[in-house]
Formats: sequence, structure tokens, C-alpha cells
Amino acid sequence: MRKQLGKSWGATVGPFLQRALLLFLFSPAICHAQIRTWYTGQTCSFNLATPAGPECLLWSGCVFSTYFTTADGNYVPLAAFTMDVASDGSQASFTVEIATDVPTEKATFTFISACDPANADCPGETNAVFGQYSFPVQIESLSAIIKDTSDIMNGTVEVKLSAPEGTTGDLVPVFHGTDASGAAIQYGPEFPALAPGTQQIQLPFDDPPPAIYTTIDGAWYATPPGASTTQTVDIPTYTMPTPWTYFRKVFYTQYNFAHENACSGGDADAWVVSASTSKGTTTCSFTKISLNAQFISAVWINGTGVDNNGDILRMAMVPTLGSGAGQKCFGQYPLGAIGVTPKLPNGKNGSGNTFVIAAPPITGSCSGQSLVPDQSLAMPCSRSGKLCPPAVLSGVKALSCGDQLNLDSGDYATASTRSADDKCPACSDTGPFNDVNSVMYGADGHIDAFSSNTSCTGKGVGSLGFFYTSYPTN
Amino acid sequence: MRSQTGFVADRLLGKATMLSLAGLLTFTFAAPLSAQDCPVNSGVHTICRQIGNAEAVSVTSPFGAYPTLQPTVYWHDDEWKIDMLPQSSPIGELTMSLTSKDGITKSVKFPAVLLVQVDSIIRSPGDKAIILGEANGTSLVFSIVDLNLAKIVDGSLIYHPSISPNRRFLIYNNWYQPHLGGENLFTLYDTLKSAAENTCGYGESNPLYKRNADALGGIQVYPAQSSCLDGPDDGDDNQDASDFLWSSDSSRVVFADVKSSILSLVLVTMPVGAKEHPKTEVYSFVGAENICSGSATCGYKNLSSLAFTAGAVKATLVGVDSSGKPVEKNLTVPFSKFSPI
Repeated sequence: MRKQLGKSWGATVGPFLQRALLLFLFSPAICHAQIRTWYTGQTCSFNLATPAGPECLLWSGCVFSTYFTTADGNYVPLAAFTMDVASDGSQASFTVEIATDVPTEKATFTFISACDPANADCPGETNAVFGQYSFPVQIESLSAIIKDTSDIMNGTVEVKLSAPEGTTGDLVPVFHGTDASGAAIQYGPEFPALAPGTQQIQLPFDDPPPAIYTTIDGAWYATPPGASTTQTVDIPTYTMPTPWTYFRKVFYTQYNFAHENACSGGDADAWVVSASTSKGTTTCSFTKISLNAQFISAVWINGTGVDNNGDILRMAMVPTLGSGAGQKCFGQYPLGAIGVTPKLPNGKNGSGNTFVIAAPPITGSCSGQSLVPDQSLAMPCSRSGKLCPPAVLSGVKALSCGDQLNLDSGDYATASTRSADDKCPACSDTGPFNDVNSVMYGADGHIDAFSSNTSCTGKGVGSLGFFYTSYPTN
Repeated sequence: MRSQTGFVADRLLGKATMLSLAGLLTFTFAAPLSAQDCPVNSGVHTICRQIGNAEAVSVTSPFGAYPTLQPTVYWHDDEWKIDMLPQSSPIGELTMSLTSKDGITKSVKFPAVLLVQVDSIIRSPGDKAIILGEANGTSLVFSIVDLNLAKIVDGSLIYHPSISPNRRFLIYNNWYQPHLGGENLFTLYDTLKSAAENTCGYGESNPLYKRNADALGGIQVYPAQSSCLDGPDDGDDNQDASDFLWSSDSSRVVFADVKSSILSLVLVTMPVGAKEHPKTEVYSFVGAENICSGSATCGYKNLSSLAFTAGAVKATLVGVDSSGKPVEKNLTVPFSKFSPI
């Protein structure tokens, strides 16, 4: 027979239960005594064997109770409780399912059999307790906890899922952040059918919107073995020790500083300009030199180059001189010298040809920071103003000089770590990325990386391509 | 179109889903072309198009510059077969093959230092071709090739080129050194004109104009240029612009420009005859139409769509009001409301 018991766990045992309960023997089910850890929502079964016992259960007036209590005496709520008694009374088996709102704590399972004094069939020994048996149970709630986000820059988050073996469920962590406008961004991927244990979940790189993510919550929709329903196991809000600043899909082009000794072909006229200002008047002196023609163009395109004398040449439109009509030397150029305008002459295989000589080391637009080949990069900056203030990358935030970036090609590993040591106004002006005709269609942002290649042409300086880009989080 | 809004698994949607502002501002310019991978360039994002009786294959961004791998790019019509040849030069010099309908094949070599990769070839009227390519992945290049002469007759470093549907005009942002910057100088190139005619100083006898004109490619259509001696950067802050949108008959092109936090539409009417000049007019969204009034920033993303309609330009502006609530304005601006610059 089966009796369904609610939260008041008293029942009158029929005469079929012949033996007192002297010894608890537990079935090898998931609620094994040696584990004594029961999970909320888990259906646990165990047996009580009765090799010998009091007389109580021979009588119809025998009453017994089973219940769970916490250390402070409160009842532990059950979602379900059933009892089966062997026909010869030698064994009783119980199945319990602890409600899902049970906090993690220790509880005591108690079984009491007694004689009901109100029942005439109870012989004399009214209020007698024939048997009382207890054992402790560690009740655990199912849990899903974010454990580690130190490698989230490479798309990996460590999650610990606690539940009885055999549990499975979909995990939906929700990442909360903001973008550069301050708008709230949230992203909740679904990881299906995850089992208990420590999991390294890997985010699909293309999906999280670019943002600065600071917290994670969400839920694990777990179904313990044998449970009648799926539990919603909330992920406690996890605050990342280091926010995940995710620029998503950044396209990396490359630039280099050509060396004249890598160039081919003949020479052409060029000029070196220097400016001095006295009493508000700027005087520019121009020195005509001869440089490799390819080298002249290469320096004009990339901004800087190294000539055969080892001098660092920069195009004349450096910030110290300015450009266009506002350039200090505007109007003083000798015939043939071009250094005011960045544009190339029409129909001519030429370029600007006027340079300033810069003192080593080679630096970019970040004050005091040398450019390190294959490590430094030029970050987007606004073209307004000569100081070129950093511009927002990927709609997330503007980088600062010296910022480190983690580049991941999509294989969940760091491809390289690069440093923002230079500025790239052109990188902030890549147009709407969702227009197939835009320069950077499909990209969230654009960065120009400094290459160690010293070739005179662009042949050795191809683009690096896409990298999923974050601030380091470890 | 890429959404900037994160997705949350359906079961959590009822819990706390918020749309991001960025999502509301997603740009929805209609792309005039549809992209598809062409079998001729396996693994490379390319566009295959049928343009009239021509078949064209071009590389689309962000392929970047991969100088050792010149993808298959060509223009084939009844009169010309124009093909980029595989990269074979040790210094990166690219070669283009021109085959006329008579079966005569000539070649054009591009200077390696200025052009490391050709992305597209478009044949323009007058037996010319507009070649668009990469100088280094960041800077772009256009070259005009005279097909009969098999010769590069013009070209420049540029940004954001856009070719008119009739393939006569090219509009672009003038080049500035990528790491030094400069403001947007929108420039129009007319392939029906010669290289000299496409300079600001054409026709000027003053040698100063002539020297300056040597350095100017195309005709600057916006901002206004009072003199060919104007420098390339007048200190304005035209830094943020939308894509170019051509009318289907190629008679006009419109784009958005932002200056001093005011979003404006710039409408350029194309010259018809070879001697005419383009006409530029502007309409600024001010007063009640100022979509940027509630925002700290103002940019091309405040313009979510743009279209030509009969005698007017239709624009959808998006932004936020002073309380931060999303705002969308659908405006139709007749051509007559644009003011000459």
C-alpha cells in the first residue's frame, strides 16, 4: 500500500506492519546514507528494514511520523513524500523530494512510532514511543555559480554546477554591461544540457554585443534524475573582478616604416624642411636632397621612414608644422617641393616630397611611447583637432595611450597582446560597418597595427584580419 | 544587418530584457549591392555582379590588403575584358590585362608602392576604367586607366569611394595621412573629363594656382572651397559622414555630414555636359528637426536611412530626447529646400 503524506507527517499504521523498526538500512539509491547529501528537487529513496521491533506496529492504533527538521527545529518542506510498506511489515521504503526553496543546511530525518492513546486497540501503553530513529542529512540546493572570468577575454567562463549525478539542464548566464552611450546591454547565451561539475563554457564570439560587461547572473534550468519538474536554479549575481571590455570583431590593418635600403628604382628630388620662429615670424629653410623615389612615396603614405643614412624622416605635415593653409611653412615652399597637402599629384607617380628629420626613437602620436614592431598599434582617434583625442572603438569606449589589448582569432586563446602606442584618425572613419560598400563591412572597429616589416612597398605588410578584441581580464 | 542588441534566451526574456540604445540606432542604409561569395575567389568575400551586359567580380571589404594574394577581379563586357593578373612581381607590382573585342591584349602595370591590391574594376564611359584598390589596407587608391592607351591617366589616395550607377562619376573623401588626420573633403571625379579638367585650378593662368592644382585630385564639392589656393584643411570640424547615396539616374548624390554637432544633408547635382560643374546644396537639421539636441554626441549614426523620392530626399533620423527616450523622425526634404553653399 502507499500512503501519501503531506507536511504533517503522521499516519496510522495498519496492522500489516508487524515489526518494530530497529535498524535503518538504506538502499543504494542516490540518497545513499554514506553520502547523506540530498539535493532539493531530487527524488531520494531509502528503505527501513525491520528485523525485529516493538509491538506498536501490530496494532491499528500505532502512529508514526516522519519528518525533517533543521537544526533549529523548523520543518524542511517537502515537495513530495511517499511510503511503501512491505506486506509482511519487514520493510518500509520512503521516497522524498525536498522542495526547491530549501537552503543549504543540515537537517535530521526522524521516524517515530508510538501508540495512539485515543485508539482502543492500543493496549495500555498509551503515549508510549516504541521507536525513534534519526540520522542527519546534508541538504544541498542545486546551484550554478560563476567561478572565474579571468579568461573571458578569450571567451571562456568557468561555472560550477552542483546537483546530483545525472542531473542535466540548460544554462543561461546573462551578462550585463553598458556601451559608450551608457545604454544597458545584456547578453544571455544558452548552453544546452549541462551536467553537474565545473564547466568551462565558451561564448560564441560573434554574439555578445560590444560593451563593458561587469556582472553575470541568469539561471540553470536543471532536472535532477527522477524529478518531476525542471528547477530554475538562479545564478547568484557575480561581479567580475575585472570588467570584460569587449570590442568584439576588430579588423587589423598594418602599417610599417619603410627603409630606403629596401627600395628599388631611381632617385628623385626631395626636401628637408626645418622651421624656426622669431618675433612671431616663422622662417622655414628647405634643403634639397635626393631620395629613392619609391621611398618618398612610401614615407608619404605611412608617415615615417628611415633613409639610407639612418635618419628618421617624417612627412612635412607633422603636428609641429601643421597642414594645409595653416601650415607654418605654407607659401614658403620652393618650386617642386610638396609638403602642404596630403594628396598625390594627379596622373603622376609622385607624392609629397618634403620631410622633417625626427630624433630617435621612433614614436607615434602617444607622447613618450616608442613604437615596438609587431606589438604596438594605432588606436582610432578623432580627426577633430591636432591632438587627435582617442575615439570610441566599437561603440564601447575610447582607448588610451598605453592600453593593452588581447587579440583572439576565435580559437579561445590569446593570439597576441598589443599596446596602444599610436593614433590612427583614419581608423575612426570607417563608415557604417553594416554597409557592404563600407571600408570595414562586418567589423565593429578598426585598428592599425605596427609591423616590423621594413619593405618599401606594401607587399610585405598585409592586413592581419579580424581579431576578437578585449582588454585583458587576467 | 548586424544588431547591436544582445539576445537573451527566450526563457529569460520576461525577466529583465532591455534594448540598448545602440540597437535602436542601428544604421539601416540600404546597400545598393548584395554580396555573395563567388566561386572564383573561394574563401574571399567577393561580389559577383551583372552590370548591363558586363560581368564583374570585385573584392569587398573588409578583406583588407593581402599583397601576396591578388584575388581574381575582373570586368568583362562585349568590348573589353579587363583582368587583374595573379601577383607575381617580387616587389609587389600589379599587372592588369586589357583585351579588346579585336583580341588585342595589352597590359598595365601599377606602381607597387601606391597600389598593393586591386579590389574592383569598373568600366566607365569613354573607354576608361575606374580601378579601386588598397594602398596599405587603411588607405585606398583610385586609378583611371585609359583602355585604348593602356595607360594610367590619373589617380590618388582616397577614402570611401562611391561610383555612380552610370559609372561616370566617382565621389570620395580626400586622403589624409592615416595617422595624422584631417577633415572630410568630399571630392567628385568626372571620368568624362581629362585629368587636368578634374583639378580645381584648371583654366587658371596663375602659376600659383597651377602648382596647387597639381596636388588636387577631382573637384572638391563640400565643404565649399572659395579658392583653389585654399588648403586642404580649413580648421572646420567636418569629421563624420554617412555613406554616399546615388539617385538611380546618377543625377544626384546625397550624404550626411556633421559639423559643430549639426547633422546636415549634402546634395550634389552632377554636371551634364563636360564643361559644367557640379552644384552642391545643403539642408541642415536644426530647430525641431535637430536630432542631436538631446545627445552628447552627433554623428552619421543619427541618420538611420536615406532615400531619394520624387523631387525630395527622405531621411529617418534617430536619437534621444532630453530625457533619454529614443526619438525617431521621418522627414522629407524637397530639393527646393536645399541651399547652395
